[in-house]
Amino acid sequence: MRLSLTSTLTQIAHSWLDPNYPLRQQALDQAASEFCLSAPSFKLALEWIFSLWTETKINSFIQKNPYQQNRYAAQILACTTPAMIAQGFLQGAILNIPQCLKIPSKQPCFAQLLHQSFAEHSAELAQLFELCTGQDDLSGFYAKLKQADLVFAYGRDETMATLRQQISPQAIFVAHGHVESAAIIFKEAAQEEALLSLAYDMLSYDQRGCLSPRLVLIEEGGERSPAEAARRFAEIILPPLAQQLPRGGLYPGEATEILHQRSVYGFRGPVYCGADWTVCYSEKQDWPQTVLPRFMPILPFDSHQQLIKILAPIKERLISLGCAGPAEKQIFLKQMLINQVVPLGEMQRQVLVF
Amino acid sequence: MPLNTKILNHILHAQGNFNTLALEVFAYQFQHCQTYQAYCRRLNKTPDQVSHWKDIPAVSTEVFREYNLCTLPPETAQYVFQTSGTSQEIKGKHYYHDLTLYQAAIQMSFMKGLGLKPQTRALFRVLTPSFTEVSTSSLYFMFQKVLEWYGEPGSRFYFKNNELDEAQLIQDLQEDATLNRPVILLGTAFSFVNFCDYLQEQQIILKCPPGSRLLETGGLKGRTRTVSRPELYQHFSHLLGLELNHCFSEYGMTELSSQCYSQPNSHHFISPPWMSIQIIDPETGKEVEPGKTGLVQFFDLANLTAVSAVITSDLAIRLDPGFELQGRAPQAIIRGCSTVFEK
Repeated sequence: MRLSLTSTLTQIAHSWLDPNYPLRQQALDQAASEFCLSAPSFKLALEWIFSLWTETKINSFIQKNPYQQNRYAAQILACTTPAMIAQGFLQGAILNIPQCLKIPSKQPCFAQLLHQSFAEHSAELAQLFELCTGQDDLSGFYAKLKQADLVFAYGRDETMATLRQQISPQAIFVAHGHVESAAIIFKEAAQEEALLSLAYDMLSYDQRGCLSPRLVLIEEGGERSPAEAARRFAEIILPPLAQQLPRGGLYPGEATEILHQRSVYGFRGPVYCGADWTVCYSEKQDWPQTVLPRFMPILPFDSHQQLIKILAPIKERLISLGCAGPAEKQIFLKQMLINQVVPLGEMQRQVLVF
Repeated sequence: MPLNTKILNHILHAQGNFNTLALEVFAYQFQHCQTYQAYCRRLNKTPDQVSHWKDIPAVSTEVFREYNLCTLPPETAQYVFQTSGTSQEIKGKHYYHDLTLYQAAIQMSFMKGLGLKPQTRALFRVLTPSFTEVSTSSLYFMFQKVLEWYGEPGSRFYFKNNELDEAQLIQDLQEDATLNRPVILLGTAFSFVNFCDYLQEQQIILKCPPGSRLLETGGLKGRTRTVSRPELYQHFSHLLGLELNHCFSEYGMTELSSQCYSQPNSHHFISPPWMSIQIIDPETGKEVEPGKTGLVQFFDLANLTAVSAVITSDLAIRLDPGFELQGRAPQAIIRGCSTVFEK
């Protein structure tokens, strides 16, 4: 069974990586806009998502599955990135129990296509999933939620509190509240390479996911000063890539907020703007108040103590750090702060199962 | 002639050309407000590079929360007006060392905004605290000055211990009706909403005498509910007995020193001659075509000792002249893994 499940999932991934796969084509035509992503960005996202569904990874997840005693699950995927939808399916398949998958009502297309793809490869596997968009009525979903003995939910902390009231007291509730990520470039890093990797982490998913870097911290004493690195990043490295991967649409209020934040950051330091991106250099060491697409503050730091100080206020909700620099510093961060420390450029290539 | 005198003459006597004065104001603010100067330099827009007021770098209202935008030392300011908000929020501040221009702007526009001659005297009923009670509010300051300058005896504020004294207000309005004494009601939109709710609960219908007027200001999104403007104006007509063409709206903010007033019973605002407006497309940062919607951006000559070019979060349709206010731009919500689960 294990081999069969692994093999089915890798086959599904293989199909999605095939440019001629009809469902992939359909997703590119119809689903990119539901995530506010441009077609090239969505295409890159599909490639990154499914290249992670390898036999080794899947087998490792199956072995680590701590929920083998559970009988019925519910997953609430309140998110706007295709990666989260795909992760929900992967996690659900590994759980290998019947489950209800609540997907955002405004983003049904990719989930439905993925479900269809599961059905094409294994009717038995697809039948485990019952999709619920809750477009018209959520009462059916709530009924199923009460039946679940295992619930995974993603969303704001208040959302988690609301959901907790809806589930059975005996159920295991795995709540993923609001989380964010950041990028760090240590002084020892090959800066040019690091900045290019950073560009990918920033542009893919338009910084809409929780694994996207919300800001970048550059250590003093590297090849270039943090200010100069920010300028180079904005003027030389980012523009050609941004042209290849244009930003998708904006949600209501985002354009206004970007305009205001450009003004606010303009008082702190240089602000570099493209048609659809913003890079700001700021010596004010605070975490951005807003979460905006393709809006990247770059901050300098000069010591580990200062780094810890900058990250400390958001430590509780920091899920991942993308790092460029020596391994020992990354290990230090792992010990001190974060469980997910990955190389820069790989921030979007993580699967967070269980 | 000192610049503030030139501006005062422009406000009071329409002397001088707006663009010329705006450029002088920009040069003054650039020279004396170091943070603004650094901002303009980063944008490569310095006084010697700008020849039209529309190109002068505008500052977001958000910046007022973080920086003291002031051409004089803030610690020597006579008055500090603060933006409203909860006690946890960082408030924007506007420092005034001299209120001459601010007061001139009120004198030249307030009564006119109510469709009256500038120096008309009237009986005011004000549904807000006075400036004496809340000395950080530019709105309450304006109302207090209006009462000092134009208020007939008996004009007053109806806030006591942070609450509207509905009973006293009703009693006075009933007496005004009996004596056929026209009044001018002033307040925030939501203070009127609450007062109208009270009248409905108590089943009281007032009849303000002919010639009475009302001026409301501020948004309609309350703490407990949101009311539409037509709904509110219907209440003014039905519960207060006011003619709809005697109901006006004021649009101002702490960050600015001048205000705009609406046409009767509408949200079509016209700015005074010393304050110019652009409606800006938030995506491009450029002015929209007439009939299109964008963010309201001001250049207010009376804001001499702060920054005159200010961009707001308010949406409006560009009209000629003026603009039709649409309300606050929606706030960008946290997305990604933090999207709210639809309940």
